[in-house]
Amino acid sequence: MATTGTLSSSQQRAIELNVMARKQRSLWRDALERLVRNRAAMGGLAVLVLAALLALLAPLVSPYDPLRQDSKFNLFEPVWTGSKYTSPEHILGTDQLGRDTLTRLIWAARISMVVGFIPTAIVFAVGITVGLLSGYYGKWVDQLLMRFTDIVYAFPDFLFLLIVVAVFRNSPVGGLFSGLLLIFLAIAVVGWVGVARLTRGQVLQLKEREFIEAARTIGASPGRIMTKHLLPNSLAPLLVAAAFTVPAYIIAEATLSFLGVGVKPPTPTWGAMAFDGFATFTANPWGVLLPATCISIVMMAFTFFGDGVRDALDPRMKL
Amino acid sequence: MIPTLLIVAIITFTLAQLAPGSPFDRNPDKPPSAETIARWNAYYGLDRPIPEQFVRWLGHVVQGDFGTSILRLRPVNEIIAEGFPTTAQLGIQALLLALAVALPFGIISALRQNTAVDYVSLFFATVGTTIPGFVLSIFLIYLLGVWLGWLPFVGWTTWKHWIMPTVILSLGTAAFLTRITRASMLEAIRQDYVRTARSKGLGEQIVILVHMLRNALIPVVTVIGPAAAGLITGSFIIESIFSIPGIGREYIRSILGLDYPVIMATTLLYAFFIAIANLSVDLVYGVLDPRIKVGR
Repeated sequence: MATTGTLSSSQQRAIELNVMARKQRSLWRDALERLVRNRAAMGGLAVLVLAALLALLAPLVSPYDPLRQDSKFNLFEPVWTGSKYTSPEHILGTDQLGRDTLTRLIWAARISMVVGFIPTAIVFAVGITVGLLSGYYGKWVDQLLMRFTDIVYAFPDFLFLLIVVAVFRNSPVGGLFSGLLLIFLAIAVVGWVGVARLTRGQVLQLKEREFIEAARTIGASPGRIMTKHLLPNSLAPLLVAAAFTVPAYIIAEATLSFLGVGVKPPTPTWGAMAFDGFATFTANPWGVLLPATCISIVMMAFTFFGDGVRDALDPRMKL
Repeated sequence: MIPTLLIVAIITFTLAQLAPGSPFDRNPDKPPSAETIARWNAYYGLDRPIPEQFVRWLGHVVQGDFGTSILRLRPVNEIIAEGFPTTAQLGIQALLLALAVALPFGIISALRQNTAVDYVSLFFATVGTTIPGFVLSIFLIYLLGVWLGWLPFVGWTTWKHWIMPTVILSLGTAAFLTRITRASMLEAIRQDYVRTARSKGLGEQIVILVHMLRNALIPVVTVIGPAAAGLITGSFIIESIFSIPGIGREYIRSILGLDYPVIMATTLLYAFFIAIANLSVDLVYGVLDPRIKVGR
């Protein structure tokens, strides 16, 4: 008879443990678990998801059209202030043209999301490509990148952004998508350099390691080495950088719009609403306080989430 | 540094010249006649080829002459000389305040890690680095200026006018420096030489001040340069918000009005100070840590 009798509970446990130990636990999985356990990061993420949903569903959830002017209600205050310039029709009040503040705040979330994510996507696509090439091949690509970096680093980012946006505002490009395209381009021109440098640094560290040598030995093409070996192994710091890049661009747009050179009116953005509201600060401070509050909430959410991503991906990087 | 400034000058010059429009078409209700514009262009040399304009401009700048403001009809040198003391005062006040807050808080947070003091200072450090300056200005102006009416928020005449802009400008830098100081003190606490110092029987004060702090300050000093640069670029937003008659406000005005000579002069001035800030860090670095040689 074969000895397939019942196992003792300790033997069974040993087998279970053995199976668990063999189960693949990738670094990414560990990182994800760390991230999910981080309450602040998850809170931040929840706020961001909510903001993104509001932005996506703006036409459905906002009470009015963002451009609708109602001259009966100029500079109304939010209902909770109890002043005589309030109306239940406009819960958060109106701006100087009688446009509903709540509606415009919701629509403005769209601009912020777009301005945060699209330039980040462009900047990272270009930056990673150049960084991989210059790190792997070196030579003239690398030289060119380094020279370009010198120039970009000589110019303070925001000064450049401000000059470009102010100067080209009235050109044909400046008018496309309410001026958003110009902001994207200006951000992209300086932004990719930092990403390229970061990627290049990672590649330089990795490319002498054994696993890259092994890949080269078995005849993997440079393209394969870059995309299948170098890129995945450089991804963690790039993801962390991206988590902090998105809010930086949202702030850049808000600041430009607050100075009056960002997205063109009448498109609602939080920065532009603050700019308009600032002019009527003493008459109705809520016109500027509310968009400022929205910016603050979203920025804090990004920071908590970004800190969480950083701690999850590299516990040593804590600052 | 000279090549850096030259590159900045060339880029700014090119960008400004590529701009559609001219400084003379800013009044849509009363556009000047074509003949007048041509005469003005000739007067300011704007009718010449761009490379020639640049060389002529550079020739004057080398002699310390930044030309004449087109919008204000005054020498640029005068405008800068007027605005500079205010901007410098604001920047220096903000930097000193940031250091005065960041160093003690960073050090105490590190020494009392995971206590209430640590959490409070980390919270403020997070808020300070996260919320942009103009948003903080809005909240503070409302709270202290409009609602409580304690502080004025337009202009730069009395010391009361200085408080809000200085605090707001310093906040981001203070927050950033607090985080760095805390992190590098935490690193220093665990070093062998600190244990050695303690085992020699040195007092806690001396261990902290002489052994930990001197080493922990090195990373802090390296970021003061970029931090000062941040203060400089932050100042023109703050100056615009609080109507402070400094260079920053002139800068924004000149960009919005395409006042080429002022744009060039102010941009170069900013780039110059950022370069100086970074250079001085290299020098201080060598003094603090003799192991590092500044070879350049």
